[in-house]
Amino acid sequence: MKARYVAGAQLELLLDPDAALWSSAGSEHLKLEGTPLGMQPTDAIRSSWADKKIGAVAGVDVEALHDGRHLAFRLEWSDPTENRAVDDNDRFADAAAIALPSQEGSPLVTMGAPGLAVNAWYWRADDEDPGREVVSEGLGTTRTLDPPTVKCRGSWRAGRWRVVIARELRVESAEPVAQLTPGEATGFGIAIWDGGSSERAGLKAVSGFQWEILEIGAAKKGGEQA
Amino acid sequence: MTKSDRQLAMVLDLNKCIGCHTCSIACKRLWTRDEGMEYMWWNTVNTQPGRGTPRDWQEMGGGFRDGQALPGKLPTRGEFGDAWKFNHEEVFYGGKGEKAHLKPQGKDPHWGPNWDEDQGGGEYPNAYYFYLPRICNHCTHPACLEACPRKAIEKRQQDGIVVINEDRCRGYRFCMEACPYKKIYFNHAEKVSQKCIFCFPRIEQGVANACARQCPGRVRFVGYRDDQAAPIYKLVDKWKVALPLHPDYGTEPNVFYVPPIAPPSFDENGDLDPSKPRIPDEYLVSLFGPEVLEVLEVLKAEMAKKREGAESELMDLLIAYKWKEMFGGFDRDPATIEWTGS
Amino acid sequence: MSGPIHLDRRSFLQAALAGSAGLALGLSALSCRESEPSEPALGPQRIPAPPEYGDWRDVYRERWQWDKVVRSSHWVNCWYQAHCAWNVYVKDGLVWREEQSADYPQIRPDVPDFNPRGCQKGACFSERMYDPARIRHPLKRAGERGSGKWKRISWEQALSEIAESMVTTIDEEGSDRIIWDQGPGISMGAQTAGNARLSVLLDSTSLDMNTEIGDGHRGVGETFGKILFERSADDYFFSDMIVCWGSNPYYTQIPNAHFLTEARYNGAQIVCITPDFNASSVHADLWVPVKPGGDAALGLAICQVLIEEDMIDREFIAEQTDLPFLVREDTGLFLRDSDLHEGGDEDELYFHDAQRGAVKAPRRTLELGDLRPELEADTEITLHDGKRVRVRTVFSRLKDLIAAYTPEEASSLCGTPPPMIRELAQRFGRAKAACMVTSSNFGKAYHGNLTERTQALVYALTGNYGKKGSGFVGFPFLTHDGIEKFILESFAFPIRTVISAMGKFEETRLRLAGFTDEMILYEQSRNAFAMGMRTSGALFWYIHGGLIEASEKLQEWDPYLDRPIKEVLEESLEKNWQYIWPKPGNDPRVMFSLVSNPLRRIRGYPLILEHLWPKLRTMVTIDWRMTSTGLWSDYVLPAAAWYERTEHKWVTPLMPFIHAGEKATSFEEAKSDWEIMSRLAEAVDKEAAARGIKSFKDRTGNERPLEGLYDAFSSGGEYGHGDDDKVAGALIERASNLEGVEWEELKKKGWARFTSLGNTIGSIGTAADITPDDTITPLTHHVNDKQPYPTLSRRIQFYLDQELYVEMGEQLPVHKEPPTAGGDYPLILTGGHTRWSIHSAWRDDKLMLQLQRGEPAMWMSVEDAEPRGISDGDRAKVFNDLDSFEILVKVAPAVRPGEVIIYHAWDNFQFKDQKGFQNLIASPLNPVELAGGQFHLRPMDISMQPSHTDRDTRVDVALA
Repeated sequence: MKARYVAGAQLELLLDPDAALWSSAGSEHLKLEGTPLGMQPTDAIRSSWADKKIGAVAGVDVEALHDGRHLAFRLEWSDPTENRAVDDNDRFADAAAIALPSQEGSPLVTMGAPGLAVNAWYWRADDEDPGREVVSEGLGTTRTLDPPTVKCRGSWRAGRWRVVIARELRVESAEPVAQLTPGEATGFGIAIWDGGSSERAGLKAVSGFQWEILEIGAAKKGGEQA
Repeated sequence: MTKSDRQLAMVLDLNKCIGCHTCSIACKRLWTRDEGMEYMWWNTVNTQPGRGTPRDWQEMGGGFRDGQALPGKLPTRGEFGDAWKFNHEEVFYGGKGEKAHLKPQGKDPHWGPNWDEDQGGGEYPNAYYFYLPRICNHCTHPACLEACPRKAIEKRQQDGIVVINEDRCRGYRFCMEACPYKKIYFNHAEKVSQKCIFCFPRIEQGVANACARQCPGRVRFVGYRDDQAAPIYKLVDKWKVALPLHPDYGTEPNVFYVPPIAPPSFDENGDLDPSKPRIPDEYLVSLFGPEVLEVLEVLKAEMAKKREGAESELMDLLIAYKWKEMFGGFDRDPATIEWTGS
Repeated sequence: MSGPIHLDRRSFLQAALAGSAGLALGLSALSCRESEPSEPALGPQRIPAPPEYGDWRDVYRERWQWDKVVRSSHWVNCWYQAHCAWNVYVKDGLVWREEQSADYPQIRPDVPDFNPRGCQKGACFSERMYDPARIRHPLKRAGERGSGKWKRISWEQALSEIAESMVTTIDEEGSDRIIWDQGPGISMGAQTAGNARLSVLLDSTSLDMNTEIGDGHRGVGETFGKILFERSADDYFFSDMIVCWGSNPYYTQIPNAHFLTEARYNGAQIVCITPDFNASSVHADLWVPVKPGGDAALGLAICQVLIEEDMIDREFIAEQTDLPFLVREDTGLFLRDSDLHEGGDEDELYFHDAQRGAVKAPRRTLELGDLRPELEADTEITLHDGKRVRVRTVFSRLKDLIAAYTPEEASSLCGTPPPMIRELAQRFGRAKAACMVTSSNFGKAYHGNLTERTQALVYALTGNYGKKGSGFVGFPFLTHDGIEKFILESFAFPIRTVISAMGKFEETRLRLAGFTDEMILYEQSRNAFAMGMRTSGALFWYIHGGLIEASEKLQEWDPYLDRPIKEVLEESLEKNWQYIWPKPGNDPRVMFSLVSNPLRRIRGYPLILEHLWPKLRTMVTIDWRMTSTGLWSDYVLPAAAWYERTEHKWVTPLMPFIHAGEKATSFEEAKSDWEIMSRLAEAVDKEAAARGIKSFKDRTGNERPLEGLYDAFSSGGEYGHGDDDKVAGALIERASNLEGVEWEELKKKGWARFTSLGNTIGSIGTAADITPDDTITPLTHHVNDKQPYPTLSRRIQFYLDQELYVEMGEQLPVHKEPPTAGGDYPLILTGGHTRWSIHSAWRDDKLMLQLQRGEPAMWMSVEDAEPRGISDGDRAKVFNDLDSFEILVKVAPAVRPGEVIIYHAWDNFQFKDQKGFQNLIASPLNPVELAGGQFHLRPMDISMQPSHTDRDTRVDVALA
């Protein structure tokens, strides 16, 4: 997949999932699969979900743009219910995340490994902006970074979510986050949690155990205008 | 199994609990006053038989059977009993005269933390009930700790108190599903799970838990399980009259109960019927396991000794002549603490 | 100053009448405690607060911090539960939380100590005092009374307008038209001192509310000549049979309850006799069901078995009761000295000695010497006019009476199965020290007096008085005796001297007549009632409040009443058996409700609104919270909440320690009760001066000064507006029953044990010594030291021959069917004090409501709910001939079929249309309670006045 360069795009515009600069022609459909029951980290979770389907969202349309400064992903998927509020104990918010390798060799399947961090940018429907940025060096080791750098916007209509998750290509950080460069490629993965199905933590639909490839377009002059 | 070096425990004497809820209020006024905590009662007291808090918690699963984790339900705020809001200003200052009256606002509530108080079971004149206070059991085999994928729940090494690390917690609430006692709450403002902390800030300063220290009924003993000089050990391990609630849940709780003895029931002629205990045996067995019947016999035998003027170590332990000695060394008076500036 | 003023040091007594990170902070060392109990810390321990930006553990640690700790308590009448020492924790100038101090001593090593006391209500006052019910500023109504429309005004405006109304009233109509309704807020401390001084200086009317609220313990008074006597709660521990008969201590004696559960472990049996399987029955050894209103029949049946099986203590009966006294068969009256000797004493009675025949019963002592009163006697005696009459003992007449109360016959009257009645009698007979947990339940039943007399009889027949752990008891009260002196001092020097001298003269006269200290106090109190210095609140509301109208149908309801109750009332007032002030026809004009809530409390209150409210020019509520009464007032003045004033308060022998505390914080414009009275006195003084009114005529026609009122009130400026602390200290200084107790120390320590009962009507009735190292058993001065009881017979008296008792057939206690108050409806509406509030103080508190159903609820039996199609949680309509209301229903197997239960003190505004159960309660007036004129059957402080009752209310219930 390509992250097209859009010269001079304002962040606010990028963050609008309905902005004209997003066009479905540029989006790719990725199939999603539920994380395996056996990979759920505790017996209690495995026991509770033994007879339930993990990964309610079957697929997602992805598109990526950058303006030389920010990289933005637009996700669109089917979801019969809009789960924005965590206003009761059995309510969970819809959420999505983009995972990126912080360096060569970081494994996606285990959400990183010691010394081989995975960096994820999170959107949650009940607490959109700023989103959350985490690094992880193995299952259950996620830590949230402060200050938040990820920006998100989400909009649900007629059974479909349209969400934009964005971050600066390069950030100042001592943490092992993904540092991205126009003209270079990076891996990425997508996870979507359907709040309406009580999905959270490791109970999600993911794009796979291997990285998808994203080519970040070069920031040429005379590129697409916003 | 999570082994800590020492284990703090509590014994509650159900022959002394009068259902006053001072424990619930003591806890509430200390720990659960902030936003998101309004509906939380880390300490609950329920009339048994009754549906409890949360409603029908004993049918919500969780815990272990034969070492396997069982699936459990997430109780809703309504099932715990949501915090009601009232319209005092409207009634007092709204200028509506008798048209306004004070009541919970919004939809009529259908459950609360003490909804079925003093209703009981059985049939008049053989009705029965007693009071059951509950806190987190700080289990030795905590289902909550084992359920958390982020290892956000810890059992303290030094004293076995089970705590939720609220910095690590993401509010996934697997712990809430897993706990068979349904003693974990979700804070919607902070988006973390929260529960009884066994008053660790007080414990750390040698002060007993608020629920224990403030109980006017002198129901609660606190102490280390291994402290053989103190009441906990004597009641749990020596005399064995203090039993865990629902040992069948498999979590090895560290809160124990001395079971209640009710007055005798009547037969159809209005005579006392010693053959039929007012609280049915099956009911107590369903709560405390089959050992409870033997415990009742021990209690009755020791009470009989006292009635005849003989000595009884057990009765003296339960009477607890000196209130301070109920707390296994955690008997410091909090009012003697002066906090210096941080 | 002309004419006598029968004021004396007793007569001013105001009515009663209440964290791998944790390790990093080095805390593991602190928490690894050794197993030996730590020594009490010597003084404060300085602990560093956790760092501000620690982890989540530090967030919790930081919460448990405060700036300062102040001793205080809840200065309200939790009555049997008063009091508990609390530490109030203040953070950033606000009360953050409270926790019991729990540092009382252990009185005896073989008895559990008093700690920690407290209850859930006290434990959340820190939240209550800041909730939306709290009154912040003086308010004046801006619409109709009850409309809820208010205008905030200044203290100055409020006080000057109220003072204006008061002075107008005093000048134009009379000072007695100013009415003080002091309710449960009364403390006998600074709060009371202020009101007492002002009301007495103004010769205004103070309502004695005790029998109105239903705590009159009429039967106790009829039997013992007093109602105030009780044990210390640790004395329960010496009982082997503790009976809860009409009481519910697990609701109403929360801090004392542990003594009961511990006594049970110590070998005592707890016996509960109640209609429903109530909370206190849960931990009983025997629960006995009884029909509401059937308790007298049960008691008489127990007596029948006791006597038949000779399980009675003959020695005790002969010495301590009037059962051996002789009664004339021709008149049914006691045989009197005036019968046998011309000019003989009407109050000297006789018993029958085995050898000597009819002998005057000793009156100055119960010591019999070699006299041997016979329990049964049937003989003839010649009167001084030559007539020969048959006389028999009270006991013989009692035997005749109870012949009809065999368990089999009584069972249908009391609803208790005959085997249970016999079982109970056996247990009473065998008990070494049977006691009873005090109950104010029967004071709220129309025939409650008969029940209490019967209960007293059961204990008397078995000799269960005076021994440790034994005794039927009355109403508990224990207070310092400093307040009378303090009030007296507000009078100018010459008047004060005259009053003192008169008091002393009267005292000497009575002492020469053989009156004991307590009899003298009671006599002085009776004088005060006769003079109008004290006024029956109950009668005030019946007459001036129009409550008597609800008894219109009483002859229909009460099968034993042969003439209209209004006729009896008139007779009683005419004969000066009872008194009412102001005189009927002299309308009250200004009323103050001080931390009292009469519109909530008075049964049938709509009549009060109809009859009394229109007469009032000015209605003032002084309270810290808005109430039903506040809503219907013209002015609402913000009183300081309990932690906001320095104070001390009366208690009861159950907890024989005076409690005290210091002001912890302030709130908006709230002022302490003392300050409000002080400023009001000043405002009245100013207003009178401005209008040139220098004096007024008091009740007895004497001129009294209005000039210098504030000077008198403040003792020449010695006690200023803000001098609660000084006033509180002055009272302690003047007390004789707190020897060695210094105020400065007391207010910091929070409590001090009483050193004796003191010389005050509130305490003396317990008739026992208070020592630092023993429990208190009531009535030992009578039983062990043979002091006479303050009754006509000088004995525990079961025979009453005052003419109303004769008319109503109540010379001896009998069973009477309760009146069908409210009409002939199938269900009886009973009640009791709630666990969740002290009166209405916490009734609308959100935490307390959260632990109930959020609104008033009525308990109903399964048998009554089902046929009416009512399920748990349904709303029902409750109705009778008087009114109807709606309420939520709780269906419970614990409830007896035929009764519905609503626990007390729901404020009217908590019901739909603000109409609740008080609306349909008639509070019928029992004619015997109008009796008077005979020694102990005369009104005095808090007793022997008519009662308001509700436990006989009939209703039916339908799905709403």
